[in-house]
Amino acid sequence: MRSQIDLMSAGDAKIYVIRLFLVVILTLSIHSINAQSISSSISGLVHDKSGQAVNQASIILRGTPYAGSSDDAGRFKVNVPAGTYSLIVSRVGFLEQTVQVKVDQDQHLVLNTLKLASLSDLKEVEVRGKTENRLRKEQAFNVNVIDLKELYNTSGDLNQVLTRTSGVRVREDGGLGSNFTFSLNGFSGRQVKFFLDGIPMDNFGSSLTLNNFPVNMAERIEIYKGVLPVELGADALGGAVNLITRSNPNYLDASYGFGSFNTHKASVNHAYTNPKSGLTLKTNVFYNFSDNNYKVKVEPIALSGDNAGQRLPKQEVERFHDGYESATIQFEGGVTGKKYADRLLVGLIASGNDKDIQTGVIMDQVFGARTSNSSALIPTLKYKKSDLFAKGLDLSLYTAYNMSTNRFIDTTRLKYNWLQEMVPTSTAELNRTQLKNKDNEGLVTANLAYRLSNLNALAFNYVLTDFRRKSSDVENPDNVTFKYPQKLNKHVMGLAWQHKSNLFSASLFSKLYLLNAESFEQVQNGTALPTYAPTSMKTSNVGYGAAAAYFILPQLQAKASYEHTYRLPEAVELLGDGLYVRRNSALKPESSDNINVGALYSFDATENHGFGLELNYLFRNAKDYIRIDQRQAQPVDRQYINMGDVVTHGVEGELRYNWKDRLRASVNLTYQDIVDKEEFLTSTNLTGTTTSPNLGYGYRIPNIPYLFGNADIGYIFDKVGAVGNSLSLNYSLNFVEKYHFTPSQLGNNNQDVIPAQFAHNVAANYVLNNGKYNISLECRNLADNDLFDNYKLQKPGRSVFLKLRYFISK
Amino acid sequence: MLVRQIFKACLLAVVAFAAVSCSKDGDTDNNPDVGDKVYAIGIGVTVGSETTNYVVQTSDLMNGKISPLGNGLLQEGYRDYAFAGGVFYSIGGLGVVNVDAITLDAESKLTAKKGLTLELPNSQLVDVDGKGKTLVGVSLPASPTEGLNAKFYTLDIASNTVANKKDVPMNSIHPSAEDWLFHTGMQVVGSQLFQTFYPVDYGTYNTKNTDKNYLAVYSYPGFELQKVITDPRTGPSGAFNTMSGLFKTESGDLYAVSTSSIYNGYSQATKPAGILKIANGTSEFDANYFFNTDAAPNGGKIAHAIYIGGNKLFAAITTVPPSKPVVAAEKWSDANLTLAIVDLSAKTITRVANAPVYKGDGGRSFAALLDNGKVYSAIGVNGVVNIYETDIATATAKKGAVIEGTFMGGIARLK
Repeated sequence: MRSQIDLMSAGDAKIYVIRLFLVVILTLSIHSINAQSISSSISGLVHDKSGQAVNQASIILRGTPYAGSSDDAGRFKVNVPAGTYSLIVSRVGFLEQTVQVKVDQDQHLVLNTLKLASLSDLKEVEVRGKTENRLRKEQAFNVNVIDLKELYNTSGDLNQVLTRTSGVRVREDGGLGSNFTFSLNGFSGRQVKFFLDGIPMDNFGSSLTLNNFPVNMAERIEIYKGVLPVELGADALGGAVNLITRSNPNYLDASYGFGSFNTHKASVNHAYTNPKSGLTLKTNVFYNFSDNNYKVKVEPIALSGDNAGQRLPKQEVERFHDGYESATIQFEGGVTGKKYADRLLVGLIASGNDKDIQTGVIMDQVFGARTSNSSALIPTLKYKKSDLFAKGLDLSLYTAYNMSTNRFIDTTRLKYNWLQEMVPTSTAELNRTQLKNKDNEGLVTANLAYRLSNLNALAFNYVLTDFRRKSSDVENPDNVTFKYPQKLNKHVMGLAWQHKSNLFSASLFSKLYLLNAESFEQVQNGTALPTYAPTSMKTSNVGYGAAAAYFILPQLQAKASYEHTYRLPEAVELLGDGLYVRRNSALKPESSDNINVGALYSFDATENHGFGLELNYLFRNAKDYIRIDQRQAQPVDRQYINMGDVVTHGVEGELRYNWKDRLRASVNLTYQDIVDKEEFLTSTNLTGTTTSPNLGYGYRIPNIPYLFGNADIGYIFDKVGAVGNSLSLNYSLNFVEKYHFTPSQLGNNNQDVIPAQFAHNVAANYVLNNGKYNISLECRNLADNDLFDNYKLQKPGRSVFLKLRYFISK
Repeated sequence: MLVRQIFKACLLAVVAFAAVSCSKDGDTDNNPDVGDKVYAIGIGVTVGSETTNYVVQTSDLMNGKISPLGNGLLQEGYRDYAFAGGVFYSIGGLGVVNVDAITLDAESKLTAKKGLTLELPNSQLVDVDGKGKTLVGVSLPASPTEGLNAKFYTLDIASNTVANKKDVPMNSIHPSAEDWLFHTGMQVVGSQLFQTFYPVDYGTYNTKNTDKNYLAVYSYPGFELQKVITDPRTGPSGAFNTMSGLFKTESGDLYAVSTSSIYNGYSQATKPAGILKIANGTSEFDANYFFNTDAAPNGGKIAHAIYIGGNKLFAAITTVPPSKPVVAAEKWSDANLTLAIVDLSAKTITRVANAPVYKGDGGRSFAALLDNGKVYSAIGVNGVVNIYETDIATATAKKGAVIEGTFMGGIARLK
């Protein structure tokens, strides 16, 4: 292998500049066509009762697709054709307000300031949360929005919430704190990116991931399938999940829950904004603990006696070494609404976790002493300014520097079995190690948006990540691989034109992906002592795409997008994690052509019966598809590898119904056919290039669920016990069709199958005093079915969780 | 375009539901017809990049296709194979080392008896005396972080149980601050067990010490280490995982085969490739016997071999000397292999006619079967793997059935 692959050339850069130029020209020409379509507008200001500006309030004109939202100064503007409208203003924590407005042709109506009443002042509560979310859904991008306000009283973490969304599958190894991967329409793992308020989460370390993120902390989750808006900027192929944290300026939210398997979860979220000085303080603290000692069915292996080494009859045993504990403190402070900054916040995230390791990749391999822990310290800076230098030019900037340490420890000279018996070993439980990976990662995300007109905007996005790792292991200090640099430097730049009129929204974009990875590989130098040498890989790729959405009818929106995109390997994929994932310094960026076509239809059959229907079709043609490979050789670890050609056809649908906003029901189903389209496998060596037929050609890729769905139904009873108290009951069902780990076309009666699985969950929430106090009781996997994931790792059986919550908002 | 896509989407949805509602569990029997003879073949299939292993049965090694498509027993994880006493052993797994005993049921269909596991990945299983009653096995840790002891044991074929377990410290076999040791072969003669190994850096797999051949001698069945003898006429026996370092003849003589072959992972060779003898009744190298295979006519390095009786080995020998200085692409390539018959007493090498020069599959234990004067092994050329039948008497090969897979990992005759 050549040690240096340099694909970037001056020619590539020139082509990129030309393409960008073309995008801009195209932009301006389309802009001139669309600018005349709607000639009137409604604008205004949203304030609270104290006169403070209310941002992110949703403005919708009932029964039309025309909508907008208020900016940080509380301003909003909606372009409309002449007519009479019911304008609805809503915001979490405030009472919804409706105003009748009439606009004439070419009139630019400016409304009086809209004063929203805070919910906490009121006796009767009616939260219509869907408004902002509906707005998001109507973007040109294929996006699902989960409104978390509906779920604040559930005990779940975000993974469990996401699992209920169409096209989304969260695969977990076990209980609280366990490893998980996330898949969106067949893209999985690192192909799907996570963002926290638009900021990439990949560098937050293992303490701050979705499965220990309390639902309370976030306001909503946006799930983008396929094309991402440029402001997210990252190089995700499969899509992205953007977690929006709560923006209420003044609130305190404290919760504590406990349940099965000695699981405790506590969180305190507090925000304070001084209306006069603009001083803003935010604190989020959360703590999770669980023994995860649920029961599993195994065949324990006898360790001693006459039958040493023999499997014992199948029996139910308790997990005994799967404890998990994590704590995170996030603090942010700064100012809002200043001349020099709409928002300037500095913050610090400190987090840590301890995690016991119970099993290997299959349940047969059991551990009783291996542990891992991690800690991270992340200083952050957020800056946002509208109308910077020129009117219509907005800048937002985020920088963070993540210092994290991950340790794996295996120093106990004992071997365990599922019966918690043990025998002495000579060095360790499996492989003696006290591996310490010190990872430092710098991150800069900048968005520059320029409003060309009310309908058109240009956006430039830049994301820089610079990752460095230093590994050490006191048990294996001479390991030569610790002596070489491990660095990963990525730049992703995107330029987009965005058009948004009332019936039509569109985006054209181009992205430049630069990767510079430094690692090492073994080289032969002709002596007895081949050595390691540093290697570097530089790549440069240009992606582009377009997305459009159009209201065919006021209630029917069609969406389509195409993207030629790249995904740059992540640090863990190239460099491994030192324990579970082996490094692969030859991993190439993966590319994909993605097409999404979808439609959203909603209608009210009568005043009380509302229906919503969503259908999406997805096509992905991925080259050098990066996927995690379960190595079959010893030691049994995993490695990220490129697969030549993978084609995905997927359909997903969701049907929603609500009755008087009291009864809500939804069903969604996803089918994804992810097929290996590489006809011949080639490998090059000294004897030349060998080409062999791929026995997987034309068959579905194993170990990925291909048919799954969810159903939810919930009912809210008002005035239960007292005015201001309500009770809601919810039932949900998760379904995954049977699938195989290995190619199902090979072998007969293969035992490596995960059977079709059903999980029934029920929950009851009791809200007192208009939401000030909440009690929720949830039971997951009510039928106590055996649920599995990832190489038949068994998941928890029936579990019960009680959660108490206190919320005040000023 | 949009209409077509939506149409396609609807069609897909219909197909999806149809597929789900109509799919049956795969309990249909696709096993091929059973003839007079039944062979078990371990096939490794690389799909995408994952290799999965299957044990498939066939009654014809010479015609048609031997395919795991809808056929055969899935073998979880990486697998090594061994055969003794009518049992085809498939050893391996995902994190647990299963010893699955595959035999034929009353209808002559493959059936696996499961339940036995080993503590560490197994290095080799050898029939103690050729009677098919008892196997001797050893597991060596790959590095001192994995373990400090070589684990010896015997396996009773009838009961599929392990006995006589004994830990022998690795540093007592090869005391060295510089090197670890990898197992390359073993045989039991009388009340002694002989083991060949090579010194190696466990981190880099570099071989700095290739000036001597090493043979460890243990008591059997007690597995007490008695001594380690060395011989400077050739380098260490065997190579990484080839299990072709030590062979036993009918008369109880042992032959230790050294290659120091770059193609099989050595980082240097400082002695010629050659064969040493340990005569029955002794535990010393026979000073009067040395067979320099590098220098022999038609010679080379014996990368893989099985003993086929009459003081002969059926071997895959490396006939092209490696480049100097060492080229990275050659190391571990297992390339330039030619089938040959090695006469240990006459010290001759006869190349097998009508068999192509080929590249091995990285070299675990040599998958070759001796059956009625013929040897069956597999050769992959241009991505197509065929069984080759070698007639020992004439040293001539004949191309046989196609194996649909990436490599043949094991072969045995069960009936």
